[in-house]
Amino acid sequence: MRADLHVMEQIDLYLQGKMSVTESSAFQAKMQAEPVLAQMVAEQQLFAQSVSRQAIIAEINLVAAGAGGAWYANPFVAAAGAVVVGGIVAAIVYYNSSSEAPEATPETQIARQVPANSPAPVEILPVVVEGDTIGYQEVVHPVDGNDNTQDPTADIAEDHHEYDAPLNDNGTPDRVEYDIEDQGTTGAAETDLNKGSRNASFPNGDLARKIYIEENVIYPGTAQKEKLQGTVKVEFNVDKEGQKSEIRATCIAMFDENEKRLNSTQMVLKQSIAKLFEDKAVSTVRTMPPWEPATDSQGNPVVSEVTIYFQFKLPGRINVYEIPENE
Amino acid sequence: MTDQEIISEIRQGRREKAIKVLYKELPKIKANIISSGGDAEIAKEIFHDSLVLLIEKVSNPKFELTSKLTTFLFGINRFLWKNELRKRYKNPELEWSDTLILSAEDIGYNEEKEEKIKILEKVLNQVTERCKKIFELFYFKKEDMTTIAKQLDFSSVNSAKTQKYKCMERAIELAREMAPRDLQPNPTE
Repeated sequence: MRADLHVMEQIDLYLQGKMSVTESSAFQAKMQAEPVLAQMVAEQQLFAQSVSRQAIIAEINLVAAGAGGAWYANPFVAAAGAVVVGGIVAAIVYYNSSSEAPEATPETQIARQVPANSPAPVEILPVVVEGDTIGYQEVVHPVDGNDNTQDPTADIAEDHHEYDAPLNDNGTPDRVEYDIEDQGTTGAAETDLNKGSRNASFPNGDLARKIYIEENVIYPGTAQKEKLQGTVKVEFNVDKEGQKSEIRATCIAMFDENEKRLNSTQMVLKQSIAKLFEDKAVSTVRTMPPWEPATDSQGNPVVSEVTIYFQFKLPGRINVYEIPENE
Repeated sequence: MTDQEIISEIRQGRREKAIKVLYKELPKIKANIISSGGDAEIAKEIFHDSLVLLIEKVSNPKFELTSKLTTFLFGINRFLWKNELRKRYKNPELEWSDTLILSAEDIGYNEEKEEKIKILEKVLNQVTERCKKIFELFYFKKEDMTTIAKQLDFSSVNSAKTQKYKCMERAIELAREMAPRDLQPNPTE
């Protein structure tokens, strides 16, 4: 064996702690005397670490490949299922449940009474309200025949307030903090344990929702080109099966790339972009997997109305959040 | 599994089960990173890097856990994510207003060392399968050269050794050649 190969073997023995105490201290003394040797030792140590690390990464990747079986791994199947089942189930269940609605507890949001058979016009109707804002009345394309128009008396002023709430001073959304100490279980597991009344929620909780949005929703291209941002309020009903119906979206505000809010005239000019935001929000909600239905205090699923906000932020982020109710 | 069980699994070389348990933390970490400007891909990358660092750290018999293992994992993750943001935005003052961030020393993280390891990993992808196998058995599985020579059908232990050290010498040389270019700090604009 070549001399330097022998040295390398010595280094291995040293690094692996296989030298006797005397050998080891002699080796250390030699390292101090010979910087070249010291460097070789350092390099070889890094080399060994790299080899181990690659092997660890391979093991992690193996686990990662096995962990890919989450429901959102195939959004298309989930989405298709949601639409097809939603069309049938939502029509029946929503109708049946509307009579039970008044019995639910105050914590549960009850679906607004909406005429169930009104046809769904496909145009957007700008509604001018005093002040500087235009309210858009988004009307959902009828996919399951069960979507309805939004209550045109929606309080725009309240929308402003609600929009402002989750923003910090910079106009950017507050970072959501998670309690990483105690968040042990998934939302699904909690469902069995927590029998109190609760609101409808995205399956597996807000975190799963964020990930779903991140992986499945794309910023509208034209809006991106025109450098426009927007916030869309989306309301929909979640029936006892978790199916969504009557999805209604309103673009409550738009901003240019400098975070300057568009005034009413600009909003009218850009209403086609507002419509894009609204359509994106609606189609996102529609294709989401079924939600966890709201429950009454006995833990029975009930029909509820959900309001979420889509925030389209340049260069291409989409945040979805709920405004917690403080009553 | 308790934290101690996870640690002892890792120390005994049975990492798979431990990784599976720790992998359940990915959704939370993903959400955290996504909500602070990252995307799912970088989240996964950083999560994997954190797992590697955690396993390396825990494998050291001297390592003592002072918090929950998942808290430690989150700490590493936050450190790495913050580090990534610093690199991205070239903003050294980027801070997260929480106390969970571990320091580089807590984690045993050294930027220069990490860069060198990255280069070595690249080099390792270029060595022959046989050499790679020897390295893995020797440095990762901690097999002795006699076993390795037998397992890989070398004619003698000495030829296995020669092969191993020649291969390693070449790899380290290659890494040295690559280092000056790759170790350049990111050009500032």
